[in-house]
Amino acid sequence: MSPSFLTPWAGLGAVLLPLLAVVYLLYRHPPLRKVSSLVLFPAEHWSTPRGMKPTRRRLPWVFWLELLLLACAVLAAMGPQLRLLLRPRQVAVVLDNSLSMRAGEPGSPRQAAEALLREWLGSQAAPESLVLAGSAPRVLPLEGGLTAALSGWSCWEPQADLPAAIALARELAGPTAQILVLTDHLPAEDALRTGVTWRALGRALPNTSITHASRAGRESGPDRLRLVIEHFGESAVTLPLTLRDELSGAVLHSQEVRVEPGKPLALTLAVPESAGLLRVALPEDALPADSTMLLPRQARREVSVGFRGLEREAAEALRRGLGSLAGVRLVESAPDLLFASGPMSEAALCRVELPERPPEPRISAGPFLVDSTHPLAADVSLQGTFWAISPEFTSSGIPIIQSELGVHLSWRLEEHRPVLRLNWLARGSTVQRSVAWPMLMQNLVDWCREYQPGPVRSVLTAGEELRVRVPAGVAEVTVREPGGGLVALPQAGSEVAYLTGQPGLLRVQADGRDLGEVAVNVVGGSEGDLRQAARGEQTSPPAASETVGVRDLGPTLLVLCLGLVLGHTWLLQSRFRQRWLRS
Amino acid sequence: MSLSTEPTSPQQHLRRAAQLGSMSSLAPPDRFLLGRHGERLHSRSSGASLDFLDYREYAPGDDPRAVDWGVYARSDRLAVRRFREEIRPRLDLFLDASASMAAPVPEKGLAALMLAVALSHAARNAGYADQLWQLDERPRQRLLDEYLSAAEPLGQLCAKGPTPLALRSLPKLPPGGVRMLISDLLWEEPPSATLAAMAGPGCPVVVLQVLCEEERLGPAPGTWLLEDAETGLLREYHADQDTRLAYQRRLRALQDVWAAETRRHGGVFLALEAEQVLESVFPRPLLATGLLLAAGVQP
Repeated sequence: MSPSFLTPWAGLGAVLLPLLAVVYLLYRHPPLRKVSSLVLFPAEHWSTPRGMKPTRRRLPWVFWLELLLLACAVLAAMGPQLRLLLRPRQVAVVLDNSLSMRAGEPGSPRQAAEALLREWLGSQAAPESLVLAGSAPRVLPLEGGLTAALSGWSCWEPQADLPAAIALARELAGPTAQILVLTDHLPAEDALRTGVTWRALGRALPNTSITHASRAGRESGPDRLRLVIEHFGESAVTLPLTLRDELSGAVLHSQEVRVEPGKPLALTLAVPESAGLLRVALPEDALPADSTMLLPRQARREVSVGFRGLEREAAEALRRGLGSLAGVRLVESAPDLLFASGPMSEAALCRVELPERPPEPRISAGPFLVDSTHPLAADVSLQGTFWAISPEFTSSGIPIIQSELGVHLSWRLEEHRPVLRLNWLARGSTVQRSVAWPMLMQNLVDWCREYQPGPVRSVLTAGEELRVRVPAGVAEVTVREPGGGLVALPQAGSEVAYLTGQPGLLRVQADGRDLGEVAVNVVGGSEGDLRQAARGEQTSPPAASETVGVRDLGPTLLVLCLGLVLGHTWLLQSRFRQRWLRS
Repeated sequence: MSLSTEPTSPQQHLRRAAQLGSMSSLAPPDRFLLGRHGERLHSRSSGASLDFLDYREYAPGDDPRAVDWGVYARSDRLAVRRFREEIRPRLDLFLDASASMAAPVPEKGLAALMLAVALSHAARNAGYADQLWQLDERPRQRLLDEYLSAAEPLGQLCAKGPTPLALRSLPKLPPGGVRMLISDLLWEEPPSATLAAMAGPGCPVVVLQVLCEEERLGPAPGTWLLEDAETGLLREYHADQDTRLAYQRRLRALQDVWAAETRRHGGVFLALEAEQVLESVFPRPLLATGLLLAAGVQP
């Protein structure tokens, strides 16, 4: 317990306390009694002339009570805090789940770490928790045993947020827990927090990574493939780059690339339009996983659009705006995106509700308050436009665009489906003739496309979450993993999620029917740079004693003071009563 | 028993003591004094009293009136009749006037004064020639009226000197008579030395020790700063039940020594309680000694 002086007076009181006791003792004279002679008093009970006391001075209880009371009061004013011992030290293990842990297989840092962990646990108690350090910290369940838990340690994630994982481990195991971090690099200088044992098991190796790969389809002509390759080594390397059709295995393109250290090499390749799933590969090196990538064809899904009950000017403006967009088809029945005015009876994937023409429309010239963080308002600028609205048309849900006249665009979910309320009247508005109009239509279509059944995205980075829109009436959604395993996803609502791990091709099915394929790649980036990998151990001082929490003793001391005051009063009253009775 | 329950002043106490003393009579010494072996004491000198003592041969110069002519007729010898010496008994009463007599409570000194006044009056009734000595730093002859008429009789009790020293400076007193000491006897000098100083040839001693209740029992439990009333010496003293018992043992031992030494000098030692003296002047233990032939009844 380390007392801290909250007030200077408390410190002064602590210093003066022994002085008070001395003053009390010096000035405390026993009652004077005149006697005829001292001859009859036994000399051994006298004080000596120099003040030495042959018999022990018996101070009254009141003195000790007063001394204790003063001490408690001063101590309470000092604001003492007590660190409480709750339980013995716990051990939590943080495992680096980033891609670099797979470098140099066999004998990768991950394998070394697993061997070390098993050896270490042989002589130690079971850890309180196992925390994976990835893009976000994740806890490995220990109920099934260590082997089952470590099976979830995949090391496919593009980064490892070790500080967040250490914080989570400390939160789980307690502030006094000893944290064991197993990774492939040493901590930054002075970054090691207390109670952490850091074991680095990596090796500095040269490595070449594909740090970016994208495939873009065009309306006509070949797809365009864009690659960025980086080399993390001491000298430049020349490597063969191969582009294959994943299904047929046919080499579609091959070339030598020379990559200088520290100079990313950007390549743009044309890919035949008919090509399906492509694999871009470099020769295997220290980290083979970031030397290859799967790139599926970016087939834009079509969105069907329908109109119900709209005025002619409004329907025309919408048709003109949507007509300029790719992947949009106007249909008469069962549209994905339905623009409707008046009473609603037809269900659609996404529904946009518009007002009927009011007797007295109102027109706003701005300024417009636009929630630019919402995907529907992305890149939409309404400056210089007029927007006519119906005063009777009320909004509901979250506002996206509003002005002094009210909310112009808002959205809500209705039975897991989005419903937008667009308070817009074609007559009197100029917004449909501005550049904001096609942007708004594009956003609407893209947003609706995300609600179409199937995977939301077709290319993911390992560690990212695969989101799948579930069609209506589907009982089970499964994902077939690259290794062949089939995982049934727990279904809740209109969307299910799956945390990707091993890179490869994921096949998503709903009740046995294909919903789409998703390519999972690992991206080298900072994890591909193995030059900083190292081996070693650093241990910080253990967490401050085996204590958790701090308890303020001030209130307890004040209660004790109160009790002492009561005891003191009682004692004085008792003494007074005795004197009174005696007299 | 509290000493301050009487509503009267010291003068009233002393007048009451004088009144009771006047109604009393001090016994002759041979009535209350015993020899070393318990025998009665008589005067061995011849005198002019009517009490026949014996005969002796006539010697020239003898008063012819003392010749027993009958003996001469019967035996032809000149014999002179001797009579016991006619002695007027004398009482020398020594009153301890040291400051210790006013401590720890002044009533103790008042009780001693009352005893002195009452016994002086009783002695006069019995035909004693009494002399009151006040033992200050040196002995001083005092008259009873000086006490009775004093505005502050207790103010006399303020001597700082030790009482035995004052006794040793007594002038040569006439032989015979009774010598009576009224004191608390609380000093370090052995009783034998004190008694030797006050006793004389053929002078029996009576020692009356007057103590108050606190002196008899010892101080109450607690820590006290004790001040010697005579010397002003301060001592811090812790009293508890054990020390109280030790105090009482020491007091009993002191009284035993005084009693033994007084007896050795053919006298009487008596310890009196100041509270009883204040209440009845002649307390029951005093009457039991036969010191008084007749004791007045308290009005």
